[in-house]
Amino acid sequence: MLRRILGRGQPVAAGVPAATAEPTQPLETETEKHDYAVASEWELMWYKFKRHRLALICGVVVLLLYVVAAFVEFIAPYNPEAQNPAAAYQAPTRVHFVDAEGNFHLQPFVYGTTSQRNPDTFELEFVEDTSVIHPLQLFVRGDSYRMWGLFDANLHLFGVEDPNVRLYLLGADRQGRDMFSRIVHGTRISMSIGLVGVVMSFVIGIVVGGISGYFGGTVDLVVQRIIEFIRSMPTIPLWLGLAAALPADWSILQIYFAITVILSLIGWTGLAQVVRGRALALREEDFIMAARLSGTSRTRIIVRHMVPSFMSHIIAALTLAVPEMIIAETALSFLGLGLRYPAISWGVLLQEAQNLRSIALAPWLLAPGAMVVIAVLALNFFGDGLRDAADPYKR
Amino acid sequence: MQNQTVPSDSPLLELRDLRTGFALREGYVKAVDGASFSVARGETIGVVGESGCGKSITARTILRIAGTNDSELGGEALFRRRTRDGRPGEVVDLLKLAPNGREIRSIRGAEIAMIFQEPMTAFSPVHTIGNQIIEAIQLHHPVSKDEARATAIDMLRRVEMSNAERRIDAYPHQLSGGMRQRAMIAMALVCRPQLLLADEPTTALDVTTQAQILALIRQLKAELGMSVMMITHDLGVVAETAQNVAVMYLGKVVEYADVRALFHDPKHPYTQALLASIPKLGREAGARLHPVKGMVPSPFNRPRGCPFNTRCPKAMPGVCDVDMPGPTTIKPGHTVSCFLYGAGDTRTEAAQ
Amino acid sequence: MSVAEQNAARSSDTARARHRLLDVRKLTKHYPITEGLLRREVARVRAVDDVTFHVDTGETLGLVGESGCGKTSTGRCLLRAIDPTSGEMVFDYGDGRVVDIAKLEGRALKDLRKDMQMVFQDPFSSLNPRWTLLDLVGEPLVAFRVAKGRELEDRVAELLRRVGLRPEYLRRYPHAFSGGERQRISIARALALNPRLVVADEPVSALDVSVRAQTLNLLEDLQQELGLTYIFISHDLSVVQHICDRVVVMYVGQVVEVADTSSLFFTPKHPYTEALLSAVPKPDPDLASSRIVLKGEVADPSNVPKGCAFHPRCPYAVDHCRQVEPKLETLGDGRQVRCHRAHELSLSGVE
Repeated sequence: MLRRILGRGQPVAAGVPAATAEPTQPLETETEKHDYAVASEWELMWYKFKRHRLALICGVVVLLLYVVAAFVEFIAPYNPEAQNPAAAYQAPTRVHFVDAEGNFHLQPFVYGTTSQRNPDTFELEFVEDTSVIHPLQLFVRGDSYRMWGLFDANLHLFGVEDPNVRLYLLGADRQGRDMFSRIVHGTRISMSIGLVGVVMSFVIGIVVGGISGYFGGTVDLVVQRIIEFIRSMPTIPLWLGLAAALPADWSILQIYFAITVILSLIGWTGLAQVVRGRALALREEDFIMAARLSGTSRTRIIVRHMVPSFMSHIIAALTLAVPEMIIAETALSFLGLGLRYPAISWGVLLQEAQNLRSIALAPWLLAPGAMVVIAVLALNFFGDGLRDAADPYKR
Repeated sequence: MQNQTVPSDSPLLELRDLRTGFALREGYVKAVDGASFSVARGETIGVVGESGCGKSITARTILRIAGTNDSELGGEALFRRRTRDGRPGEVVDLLKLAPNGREIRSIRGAEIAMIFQEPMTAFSPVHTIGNQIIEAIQLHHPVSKDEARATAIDMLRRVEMSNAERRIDAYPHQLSGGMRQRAMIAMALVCRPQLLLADEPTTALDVTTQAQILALIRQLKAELGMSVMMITHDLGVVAETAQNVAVMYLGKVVEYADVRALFHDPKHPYTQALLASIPKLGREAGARLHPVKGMVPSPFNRPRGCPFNTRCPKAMPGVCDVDMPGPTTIKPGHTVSCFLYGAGDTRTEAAQ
Repeated sequence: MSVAEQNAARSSDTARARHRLLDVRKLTKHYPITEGLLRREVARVRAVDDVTFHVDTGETLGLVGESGCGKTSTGRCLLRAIDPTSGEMVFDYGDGRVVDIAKLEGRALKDLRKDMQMVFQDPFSSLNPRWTLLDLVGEPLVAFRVAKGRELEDRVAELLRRVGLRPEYLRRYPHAFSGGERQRISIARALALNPRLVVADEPVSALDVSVRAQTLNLLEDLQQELGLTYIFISHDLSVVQHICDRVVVMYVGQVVEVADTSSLFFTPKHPYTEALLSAVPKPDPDLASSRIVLKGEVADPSNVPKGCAFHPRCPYAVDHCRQVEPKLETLGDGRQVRCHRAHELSLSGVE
């Protein structure tokens, strides 16, 4: 009973008459430091979200991923297309703090690598040359690139000064390209395709769901049946069919947009249902009726009461829809029906890991898969946290 | 000669300085802060108070279903168990039992049962009420399913559910609110508990249905010889059902008295104020009400000293807002925690 | 002219010319129960069925009954929060304008809102939690373009003061207030446009016992000061007896009895009223009541019993009651009752 009154995550002073809240005793929680009585919805959401430790951490991870996506050229140490046949399937370069003589170095360093054939197995083996230390450095000059299509630069976040020593943090692929740089480059497409796709589904979803929820009745009935029909279609074959219909001579950009459209054509149904559910629930709220009885116009009720009331829910739903899109893109690209070379996305990178031999030889080719898992988990937990915080007034 | 060293008038349940609380992120909430009263055999005790006064938590703590940690519990809840042949047995401290242990489970439902404001919380929506009652019987008694079913039907008849043979196979949602309440009472009483904890059993019901349910509880109590703890915010319900009443305010029992003394000669300013503030049906209706000033404080923001001092018309500055008054016995069976009647066993409140 | 002056003027007006403010005739609200894709009507819920009563200026009319009796639907029809199926609701502005609320549309309906307002039961759901008190209480003023900016703030502060809240609370959000305070906010908002009639739907039911009396006193004070008329919807008979001048008792969508408060409570004429009064638990242990415990449950409004709707539960029912539906008839002293045996029965009220 008490729990019900207090509400599980409800901030402290709910129900404290402001007059008696004049501190007879200091209130210890952070919520109280800010004047709770004048905290707006978004502030309350923030208080609530903050308590969700995991969601907070995941939120930071998501943010980092998008920062990476924005600055790929700068963060990746190499041009993702730079080949080096001598380094095919080279294992990840080991980063050392202690050198061969046992001396500790504050600055991490790598050794140069030479390859040689094992005389018994005839396999290529990579041996560290411990004679020269190559320290890892921040802001090194390296491969030049064109940043956002605006200006040329060759500065990279980190790397090795000596252009003859290659740093393969996550190993190299068949053509000796740096996997780390490729994964960083893949972040841009993989993370953004989710966003762009979700924005598209959101537009369709909010319009259809809004119409369905606002008008109700027969319109609602028809729209809901259509949504159920779309949802009942098996997604993978549908995607396959649509993707196969894309002209082969399209540019990367065109394919990219075509794929997002295909993804959002299915993705909007979930969002439409969220919007409809909120709209239906809101129609019954006492405060909506109170506004009507105060003479407030229909438009004003929608704009000032209804939209703000479901905005937070929509944002949470959007966040949870992004990972679905990422998975979908990865799946399509992996099957070779989505983006393809020369575009770089995690799904495209995973194509390299399709044959057993390369996985046995170079398990680091699965690293893009790990990125997908990290990104999807982070977005899901972040979205969960947002959803829980989305209604700070829940009693 | 039977050698039970149990005097027959010893209480069935005795709460001694019961304390419990919740550590929430917002801080520690003292939900119950020193509740002492006892329940005699065959007695109905009323526990009244407003939202947040700790009356429901008290009942849940007795059954150990409040969801608090052992470390938060204080005081004792001494319960006299029943032997297999129905005589008074050993005394156990319910607070010392493991909350999911064998012993408390053999008490729950069998010797102490509880009914709630919303019957849907007591029933699972996917099983018929009959199956749920049968399960409750078989949990505590080694009887066959047919026997249990016969007992269940008999119990449903006792709660005056018409057509019990047919309704036993109904799902909870197929019954009306009043009928569901009856079914829940049947389930609670089917093992003939010694004590029934009734938590606002009629609050969600209409007055005519409320009258039916209260009459039913009264009648079953006489039939089964059980004790009832009637938890409610409605002073009318208390006046009509209880012999003794504990008034709670912000986790404390502020007054305990027999029902006549409480309504005709209330001692605690909170009881007095509450009685003066409610509109009464009858000749004096229409006279101006005397409201209690202010609002019920948040449990997070309890006033220092006596919990009622911020709203009390008789508060003595420097006394009531400093110390917590302890219970003072005014006459046998009537105790008040208020400085107007002496200090009781005052505890100075340490800094929170 | 300030708000206070306007009100003073009006309250002296109403004192002089007490008139019939609202006349409800044969008000009916049925909800069809439909089935299948084609929405075929299979039954109808008679939420409000042929309800007739009136309200005079300055009085408090109680609408009482148990859940499902149609009191809330009636209140909502009066405000056109829902549209009635049929019937008339004649509202007399007192300045020559007389309108049928049931027929109002658009502009005229919006104008009515200035004179009729509502206070809701649940002080939590009836205030948009995202708005400050200024927005909430000021909403009607903004909707009718009565005030804005600095003037709006002053008006809202004045309204808050009037309901006993500090004007400094303007920028606070409702979550900072307890139930009792929120109900004051609701009342302030209902009063913003100086209405003549306020429909209060269970305004104290959701409040703590110790806070109810404050709110009831506030409503009474405001009625005195502002010359308000109340329709007070409640299931709590002790509150109704305290605050109402006249009472309408409803059962399954119908009016079963109308009388002034003291007649109704001391000498009820309808067996349902008698049973209702007897069922109220009285906060006095000495009134070991000889209670009438009704059998059965409130009838289902989608399946109303034949004859008198109350007959299956009525201890006085005779064959005639089972066959013929009684009409609401007016007794000699102006009381109305829907019972075949009203003349012969002698029923007991409260002590």
